[in-house]
Amino acid sequence: MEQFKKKFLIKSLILKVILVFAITGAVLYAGITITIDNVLDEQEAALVTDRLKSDIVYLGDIIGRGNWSINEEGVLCRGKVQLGDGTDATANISPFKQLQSKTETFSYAFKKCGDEGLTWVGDQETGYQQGHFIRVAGSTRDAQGKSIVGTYIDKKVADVLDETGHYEGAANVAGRPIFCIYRTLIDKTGNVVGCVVVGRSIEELSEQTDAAKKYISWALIILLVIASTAVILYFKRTSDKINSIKKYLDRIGKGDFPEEPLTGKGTDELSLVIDSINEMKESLMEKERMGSELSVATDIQANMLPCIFPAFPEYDGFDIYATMNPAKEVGGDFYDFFMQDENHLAIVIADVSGKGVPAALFMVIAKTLIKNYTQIGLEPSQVFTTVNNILCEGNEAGLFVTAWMAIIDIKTGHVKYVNAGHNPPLIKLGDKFEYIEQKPGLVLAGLEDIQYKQGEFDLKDGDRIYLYTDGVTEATDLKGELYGEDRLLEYINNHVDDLPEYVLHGIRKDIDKFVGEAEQFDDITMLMLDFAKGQDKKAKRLEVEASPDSMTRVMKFIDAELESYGASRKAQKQIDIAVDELYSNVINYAYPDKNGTAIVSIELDDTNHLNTDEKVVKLIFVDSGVQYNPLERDDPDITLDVEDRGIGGLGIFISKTIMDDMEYTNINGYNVLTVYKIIE
Amino acid sequence: MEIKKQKEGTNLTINLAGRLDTTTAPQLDNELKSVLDGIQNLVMDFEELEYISSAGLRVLLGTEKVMKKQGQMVIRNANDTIMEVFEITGFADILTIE
Repeated sequence: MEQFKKKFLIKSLILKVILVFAITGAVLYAGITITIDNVLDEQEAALVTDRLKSDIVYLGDIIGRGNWSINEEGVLCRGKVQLGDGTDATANISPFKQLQSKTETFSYAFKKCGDEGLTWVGDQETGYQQGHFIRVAGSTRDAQGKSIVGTYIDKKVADVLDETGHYEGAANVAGRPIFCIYRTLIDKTGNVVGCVVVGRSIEELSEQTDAAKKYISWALIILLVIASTAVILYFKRTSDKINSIKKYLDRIGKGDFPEEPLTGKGTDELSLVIDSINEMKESLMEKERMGSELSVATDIQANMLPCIFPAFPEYDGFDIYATMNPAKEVGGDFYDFFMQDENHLAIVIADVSGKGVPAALFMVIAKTLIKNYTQIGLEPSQVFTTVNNILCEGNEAGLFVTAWMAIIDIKTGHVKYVNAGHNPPLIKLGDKFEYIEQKPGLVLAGLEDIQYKQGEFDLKDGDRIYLYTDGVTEATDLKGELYGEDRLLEYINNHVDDLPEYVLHGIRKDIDKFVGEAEQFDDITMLMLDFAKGQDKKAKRLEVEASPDSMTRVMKFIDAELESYGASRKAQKQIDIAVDELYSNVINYAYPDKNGTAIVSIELDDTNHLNTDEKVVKLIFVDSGVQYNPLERDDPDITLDVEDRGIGGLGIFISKTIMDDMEYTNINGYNVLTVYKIIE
Repeated sequence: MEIKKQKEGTNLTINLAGRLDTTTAPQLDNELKSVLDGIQNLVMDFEELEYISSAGLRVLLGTEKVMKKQGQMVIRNANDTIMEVFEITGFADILTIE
């Protein structure tokens, strides 16, 4: 519908021009025609009057000489000299004939033939039914040179002539409507002997005028058509130009920048628009290029943060998971964890003031300094004091960093920590998480020569430390309400037993649910340490991209662990089959249209889940793909013939049969499939 | 997985060594496609095969369907684990196992 409307609108531009032209044309046509009609009519009347006047002045000259007579043969004579058909008379009247040919005025002479008004003239066979005057003169020829005879004078004209010797106006002459002037001819005794008439055909005149009007009308119509065609063609070109501009802009709008600039000749306004569009495209491309450089910067930054989990597979005593989601392309948050020496683990979380590239650069410097000064063996408070002084030097931009850092003795669980203006972390010492109540020191890079104070506490098995930036607690919903420390504490205490990665992803989901449609303003960064000193039977985990290539890696990982547990040959083979079936299911179905990761973990079950004295291996498959419980699948019919047998569902069925127990749960949107198998 | 082939006229013997699973089954499938033409007796020797998963069963089922039309397929020397899988899945009933 929208598409149609747009198309119609664009078409309607041309329609509008055509409509305007039609109306303007019609008005112009009518106006010009009416004006020309009036002018022509006036012209015509003036012409007739003028010509008749001059004709009559001339005739008056002839008539004024008097002594007219009409002889026995009905011939009009001056004195004795014949006019009309006689040679002399013709000669005599020829100037008048010349005039006639110029003016298209015609003239007749009529003979008076008594009161009865009827007579025969010459050898003419035509009788005159009415009137007193008979035409006699030879100048009465039509356009073809043929003599016009048999004309009579209207009774009303004759009556006026009898009375006044003069008539002027419309009358029928030779059967046609004529505008004319009559004068009587007088003999020397003063008797009326006849009359002459000069006139002009009204029909002819109006025919001529009509022809002229018609001609002008056509000329007008043709002119209007040519003019409107020219304008419409020009407008078509313009609208084509507009269309090509539109297409060009549409491409730019989709981020598909054409290599060629938009072309358009001329210096009109459209060409100016085209110039502006080309400039706009260039600057947009520049911005786009900077955008892609920014995204490279994001990648570089993301890669700077340790992101391979499990982070320290060689250490059994603890487990770390961390995430960072930048709000803009490049964030100012970072986390870090690394070994200070073989017994000491350092964990850091920090938030650089500001956003974008400057914050990211500052972050890189701060992160590097903290790690370097920690690894030379300094205490946390010494590290912050030193790093603070270095960051203060040349900090023209006035950036600063809030940071929290701890160094943990992984043998004893003793923790030394320092806080530079950062949010209080949560620690779980025993059953519940609590915020660490300690007055923080000043932010890093704020003021030189600050002495940071160090805090201490001890971790026991199962204790945890959760670090976060204010992006977590200050996530805001559309009503402006903050996610806040209470919500965070409540969530984390409801999930004290979940694996760190589940907890962190779960918090992220809880925040997303809370903020709803609101935009993420700040980077959201979290780190969780799960301390488990001395638990050497801790699960071994492998996180891999769920692709066919990873199958071999998973299999080797499982085989190595099974070997170390001293699993029987048969149990190993059976577990291998189950891993092949269950992990290939993850590869094939968990992420149908994107890439995703899977976690495979293996451990000796210490919960006595199978209620047996024998050694039991617990395998866990985790993915965040399509939610699917394979155990709900119907078992295949294994009694069918070869021809009717399919393979669907066999893998799960085999696994269920050769493993000792399988459980499926969904935790925070993760598919978690747990498999138990007695291995001896 | 290793695949060894031995052909005598219309008789073909295939020795498999290693694991017949998701990773290796496509390899066997490809091999078989090109050699089954005109074979009347196919022997699959599993003496050195460690185990088989459903991906391997798929290949065996496809091959059984082909061989049933042109001759027969025999499976030999399957170990306990493989036999267990055949039993569980009912393949023990539809395959010829010696």
